[in-house]
Amino acid sequence: MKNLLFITTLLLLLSSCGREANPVSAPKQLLEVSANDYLEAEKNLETEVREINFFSLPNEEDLANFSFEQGDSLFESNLNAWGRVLSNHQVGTNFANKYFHKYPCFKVKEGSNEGKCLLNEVAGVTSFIPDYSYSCESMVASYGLYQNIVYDERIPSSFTEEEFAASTETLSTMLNDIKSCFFEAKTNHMAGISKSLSTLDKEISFSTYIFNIANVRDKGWRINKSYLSKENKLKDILEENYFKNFSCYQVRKGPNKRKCYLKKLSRITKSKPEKIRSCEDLEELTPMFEGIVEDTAIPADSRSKYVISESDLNRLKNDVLECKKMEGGKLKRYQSLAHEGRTLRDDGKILVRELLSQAEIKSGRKFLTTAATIHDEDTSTGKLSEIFIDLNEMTISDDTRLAIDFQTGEGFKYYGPSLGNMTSMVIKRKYNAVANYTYYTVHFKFFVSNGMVVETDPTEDKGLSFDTNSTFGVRMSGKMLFHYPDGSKRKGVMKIEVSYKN
Amino acid sequence: MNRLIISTVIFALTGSLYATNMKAPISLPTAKTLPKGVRNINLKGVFASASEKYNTFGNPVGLSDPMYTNVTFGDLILGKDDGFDKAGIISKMQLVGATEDTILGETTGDINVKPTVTVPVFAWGITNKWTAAIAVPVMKYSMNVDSGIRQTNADIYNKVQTELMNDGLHAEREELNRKFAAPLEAKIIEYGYRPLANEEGTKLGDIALVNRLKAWEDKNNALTLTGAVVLPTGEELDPDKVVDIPGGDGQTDIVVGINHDFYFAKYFTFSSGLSYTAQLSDTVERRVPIQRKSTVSKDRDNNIDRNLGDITTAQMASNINYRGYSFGMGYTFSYKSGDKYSGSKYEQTRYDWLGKDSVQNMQALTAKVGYDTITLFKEGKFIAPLAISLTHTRVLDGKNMVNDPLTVLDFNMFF
Repeated sequence: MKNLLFITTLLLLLSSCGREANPVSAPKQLLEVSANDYLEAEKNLETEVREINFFSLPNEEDLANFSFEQGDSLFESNLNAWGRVLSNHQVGTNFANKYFHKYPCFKVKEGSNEGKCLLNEVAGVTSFIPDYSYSCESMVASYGLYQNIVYDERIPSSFTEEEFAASTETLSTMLNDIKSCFFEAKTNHMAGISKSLSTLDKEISFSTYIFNIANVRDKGWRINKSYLSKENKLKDILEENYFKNFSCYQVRKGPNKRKCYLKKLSRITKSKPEKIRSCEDLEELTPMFEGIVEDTAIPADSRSKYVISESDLNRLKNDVLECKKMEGGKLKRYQSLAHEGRTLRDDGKILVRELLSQAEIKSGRKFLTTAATIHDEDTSTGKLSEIFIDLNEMTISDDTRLAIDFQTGEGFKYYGPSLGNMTSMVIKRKYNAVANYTYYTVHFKFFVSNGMVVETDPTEDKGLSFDTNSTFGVRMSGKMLFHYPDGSKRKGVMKIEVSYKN
Repeated sequence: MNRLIISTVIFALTGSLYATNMKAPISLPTAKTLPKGVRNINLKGVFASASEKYNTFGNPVGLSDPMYTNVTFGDLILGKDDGFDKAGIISKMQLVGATEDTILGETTGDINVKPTVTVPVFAWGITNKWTAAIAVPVMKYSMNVDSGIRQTNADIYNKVQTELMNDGLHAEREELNRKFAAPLEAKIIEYGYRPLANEEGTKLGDIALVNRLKAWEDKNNALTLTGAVVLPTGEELDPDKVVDIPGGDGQTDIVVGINHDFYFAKYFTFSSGLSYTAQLSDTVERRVPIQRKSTVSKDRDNNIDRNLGDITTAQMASNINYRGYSFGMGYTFSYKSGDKYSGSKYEQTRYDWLGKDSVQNMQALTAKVGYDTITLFKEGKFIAPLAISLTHTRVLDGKNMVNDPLTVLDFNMFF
């Protein structure tokens, strides 16, 4: 009996015992992330939309017959724009520095080496400013110009050395760089879309182009806003430091007619001072302070109040010089850079439209959508997109209406919640648990007359991100999903920008 | 006859614990069979753990070693479905001056498994030369698992976040922060896996039907032939679990073996054995990896042709048994060839990754102590012939093998 008990116990023991695994803990190391303090609820917003960028992107199937190679009309007809945009992008800049800017071409203007390239300027012989290749193909074209430089007495005798004419070793390096250029151009998605690429790689490259151009556009906008701001600040400085220093009340009669008095003299000078808006104005007025003769109309003991002293005149002349230096230097530079920034933004818009248009032609599917805004006017019907945002309540009114052309043949048409062809634009409050801050997203759908439905990113209910900052004002941006009438879907992007009121 | 009457019928049940994997031996070789009409109930309790293994180069590494892997931009790009999403990452990558090889961090993991396998075996001496048996393994297991990440590239990570913030892309930033804080968990949710969690359970293993035939016997030698079929009765690997402990490998094995005993003294036996396990090909459902270093994938194929590698095992041991007290020691060498997978839904390279690191070899040492009442039973001093033993195995060297020791408590009753 005891033995039987023993056996049974052992059986039960063996069949039922299990052990617990040891506790485990995987090593973790999380970087600190900062919160984003961005919402400025007290600012008033415009209701007219400054800009809307809105389009779907072609997928693999759409791009099967698409290619975009340097030399194509898509590239050649927008050469300058491509050059500006590519050189302003991180990859483009690195690429250019690595290959194109390595070999300057100072073109020989005349003589037996006319048209050839030297690596350094020779005064009177070559161009003052070098040319650079802008593509791997143009590197091939220019390679021959560095070769076979013949003797020319005007070129320093060391012309066969590295400093001026490319040596055999340099030419060999150049050739290797050309090969590397083509290889790397294929892999960095910013040097064309070859016919031979797989359709997936074409989709990746095409979308990368669009996103990178968008980054450059934003960069351009930031440059524009930054230098506009600097320009205004500088103008304020000029105003404070120079334009306000001396007032010119022009003399209307008497021995000093058309000269400047520092103060108004009743019935003698104009009642208001001359407006000085620029250093040039200041320069033109300076001689009018000089050569002031005796005028009995000026009270005897007040001459110094009306007539500029010698020392002040010298100071004025100095002000003119300083003012012109600043205006001609910094101000011009700021204005030029602000303009460049604006040009970059416009360039990017053109290039995106060109790429999408080409994709539309090759695939037979529509991708481009246009919205009538302050920056993109509807010149035919005058429609304008308006959006009514309450930053205090974080709501968007149903009176909002966006003038959009979905390429249905109807032109610009208003879409709005109160018009029945769009859902309400709902702002949702979300929380970034890792960075510990609250943010907002916007959610809505368009119902287009041709049966297409376009909605904000439904993945994880993401929507468009809602942001406010001093550069862009209010910006709602993110992914959109296009449901085409034939049942297919495409991913796309939408960006709505509204300015603050000044 | 004395030493032949009763024996413990030992069955090497290779491959029963962790599906395709080869495991350390749980017994010493023997050429014994049961006398005609004698039945034997054998209960094995296999106590193992799994925390370390020999990798493909034969170096000992933690079981969670595959969970330690760098996360690069290239990995993030690879993890996206379509060109649009891939381009989104490429664009940010280029903007911050990074490349596909830029390392953002390292995933980490820790795993500990404690399985306890109970194997009831019922054997019957059909004739004096032929013994048939059935073994039904049941596994109780406890598994603790954890995953994490070491985010190491503060410069690039902050740059990416700055770019997202400058663009006002808060939703994208939240997604990045959330997924990069727990990348495996994020992928598990995205790909429709069951959540990674500690687990305990009981599973049926692959049932083995064994036949042993005494081919030769004389005063000093015995030679038996073994033929067995291991049936796919165990619960198979769940493709919706990132880490799973299956009960069986889901396919049929045919085992053939030969054992030889040499009785070189009254109480001493020298045994040797050779076996070959043919793992028959079958069709399975699996997640098809996107890259070599991780099996986590959203792509699945329910029609994958699988051919698990066959296993060859050679053993030798010596045993002493004096009036029921026994002690034995043995050495085992095993080799398993690589597993082959193929399918038509995705490119073959991806199916090849399913069979990565599946070539295995092992050298193990086994020691066994035991006591049986057979002598006492024959002398009428005990009511029943029973035997109990404790076996301990250590893996000395190997390749792609768990190297934790295992212990087996064995109980036998004859009637």
